[in-house]
Amino acid sequence: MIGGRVPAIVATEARHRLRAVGNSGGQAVALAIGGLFGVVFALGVAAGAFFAGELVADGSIADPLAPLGRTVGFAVLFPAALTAIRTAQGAAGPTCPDHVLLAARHREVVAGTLGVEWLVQSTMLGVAGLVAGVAFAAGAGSPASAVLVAVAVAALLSAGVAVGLAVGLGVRLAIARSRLLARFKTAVGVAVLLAYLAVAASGDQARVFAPAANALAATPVGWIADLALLAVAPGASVLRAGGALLAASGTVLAAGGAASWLADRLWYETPVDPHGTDTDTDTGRTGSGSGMQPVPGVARQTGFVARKALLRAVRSPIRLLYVVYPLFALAGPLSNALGGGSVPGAAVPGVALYLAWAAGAAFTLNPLGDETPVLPTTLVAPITGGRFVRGLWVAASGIGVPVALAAVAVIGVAVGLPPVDLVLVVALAAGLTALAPGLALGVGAAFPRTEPARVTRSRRAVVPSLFAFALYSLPLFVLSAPAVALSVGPGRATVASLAGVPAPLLGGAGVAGRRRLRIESGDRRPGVADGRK
Amino acid sequence: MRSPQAIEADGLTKRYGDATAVDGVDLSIPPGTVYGFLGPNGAGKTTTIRMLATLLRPTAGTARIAGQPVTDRAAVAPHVGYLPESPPLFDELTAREQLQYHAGLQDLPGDEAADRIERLLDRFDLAADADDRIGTYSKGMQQKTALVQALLHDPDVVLLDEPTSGLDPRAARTVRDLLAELAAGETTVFLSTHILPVVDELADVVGVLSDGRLVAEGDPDALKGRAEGGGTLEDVFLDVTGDADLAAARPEEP
Repeated sequence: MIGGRVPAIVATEARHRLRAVGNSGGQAVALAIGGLFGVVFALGVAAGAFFAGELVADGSIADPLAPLGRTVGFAVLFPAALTAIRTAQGAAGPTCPDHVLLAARHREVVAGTLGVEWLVQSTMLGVAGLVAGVAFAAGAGSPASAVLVAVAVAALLSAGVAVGLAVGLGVRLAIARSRLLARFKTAVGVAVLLAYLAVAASGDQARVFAPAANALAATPVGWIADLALLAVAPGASVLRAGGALLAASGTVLAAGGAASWLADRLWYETPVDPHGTDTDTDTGRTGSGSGMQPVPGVARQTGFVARKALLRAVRSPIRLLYVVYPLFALAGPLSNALGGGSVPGAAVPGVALYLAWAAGAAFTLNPLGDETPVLPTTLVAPITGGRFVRGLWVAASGIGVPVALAAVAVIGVAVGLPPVDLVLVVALAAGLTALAPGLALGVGAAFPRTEPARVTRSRRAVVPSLFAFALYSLPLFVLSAPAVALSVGPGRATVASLAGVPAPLLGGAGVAGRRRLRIESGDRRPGVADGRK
Repeated sequence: MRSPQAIEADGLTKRYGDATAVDGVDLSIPPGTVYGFLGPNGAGKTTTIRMLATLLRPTAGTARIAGQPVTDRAAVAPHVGYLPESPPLFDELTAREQLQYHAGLQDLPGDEAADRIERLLDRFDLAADADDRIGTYSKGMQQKTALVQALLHDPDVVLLDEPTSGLDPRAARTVRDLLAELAAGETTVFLSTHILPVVDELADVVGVLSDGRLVAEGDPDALKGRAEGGGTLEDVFLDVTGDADLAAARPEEP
């Protein structure tokens, strides 16, 4: 039996989240911008709903139940996915679990969490649904439709949020019980994110998610279309509408019960130690002895700083998640290039530039901030600033240069770069990756950041400041632009043309400048795409 | 020529705008002393320690550690070990790696560092867990690891901010024994803590800071004899920090 503490939990948690957003200038601005887009989106939805209402009313759409029924599946799936992601990331749980779980039963906390998430989703999706309902009712000339659509939206949201909460708690419980999942949860999360971005960039979301949405639409929950159109669609059934409400209610109860069962097992048990072994007496062992050894060829103190930086990066890669952010922006162009069957040669020096940037951003862009946990003792230790920053540079270039060389060489060969271009691009990769960490060091030392920031919904870490990112990235891109441009044929041809010098002076640009690299249905063969193939 | 005091301060002052955190503190602590540094929350103890550790530049006054001015960090660094309030450790490293890293920063020779690390890990019952990541440690284990780190390079002066915080009675006893051993040699221990029995047991000299000023200093027994409440270090503390009424109201011990 759910007690009377649920409203208090909902109110307190909602107040906490509102104040957290209000206290964070960045979040408030992001929310305001999101709200602005939300208004534009709602206006678009309202306009569409209005015209749909008119079409239904004048009989232009003979059977509106069928298309709306298919939409219902997505309308459940979307809030369910959002809630599942938020819950799995730890963003949907109680803020002070120990305190709340001492004061209330876990099922009350689950109900409270469900209520808060329902409010969150209602703010984002429910308002748009209500506006659409009113607009549809106006277009159809049926005031009752506004109420029916509102009830339908509320039912869809409730079912979706409840299912999402149960799924999210299930994911968390699996991670809490499986050492393997716990160990690789970050990698799995990033892989899922990249997979989604690839789907989004391809524009195939509807096709990819259609099977799940259609399956949902085929259940009694799909009858919610009857409920929404009861006042205007001749084929809408009162029985099915009632059945949809019962099905939605049943879904909420069943998913809520499952969430409660999962929460009981999640919140009151100690999660596995991801770095431990299967024996309780041997938890947290690295398994490979000490990773802290001197680095040959560099001063002892410098070597230890480099080892420390590498060990921390390998053991806590989530701290460096920001390094892959540029890849998200590149997902679309890359997907288009691959989808079109051709990869421009200019992309290869772009890879070299990105890897150089990443090496600097990961290891040297916040030299003092990265040391935050031990900064007092490091500052008191007799190590010079020069040796310390050289250690970070050794880590950045020690891992960055080989990775950049290998990646650029492999990609260059795969896309069929001419030998001259290949040599130049590999040299570019080595040079940039060796130099970029030095630039990052200068910027990072001048503009350190020691306060932790949120890197995922449930994880905070000390990351470089936005100002440092900008001050590092812009000069790096500007200063490296000439070398990047001259490293491949098309770039050299363009530069030669602009400078009015013979292309061969810049290294074989006359031929290579017209080459475009093509990958056709798995057959990687270079071709000429300017009409001479 | 007179050998330098382990810790000397002359009019040490730290101001933040109009607020004075530490106000003209004078210290003269000979080598081998355990100096108990007491004071209520916000009295300026941590600010004083950070100035002595070269981490904070004094607004006025001077201070020296082993004869080296605290404005010259490179000169002071080899002589000082520092344990701040929060254990300065990386969660991602194991205790052994953390200590090896610190030994590396201290530029200790490899063999010597390895010997000391093993000895101190054994001493603090950490040897069995030394290859576990620090992120999996209890608060007490982290505190012990941080203490080992502060002592690793055998400094002349150790500045300890609440070293027994989070330790169980056995570990706290180990710390007290170790501090006594250090002081029996030539190591000077500057010990800031709220646990008065620890100070009572170990300290050769007690200094009490209140509102940034050193309001009492001396041998613990002599201070106890001067206290209005009479008898204990707690009475001294309450007396000199302005809580004499509280001290007087305290029931007599049986």
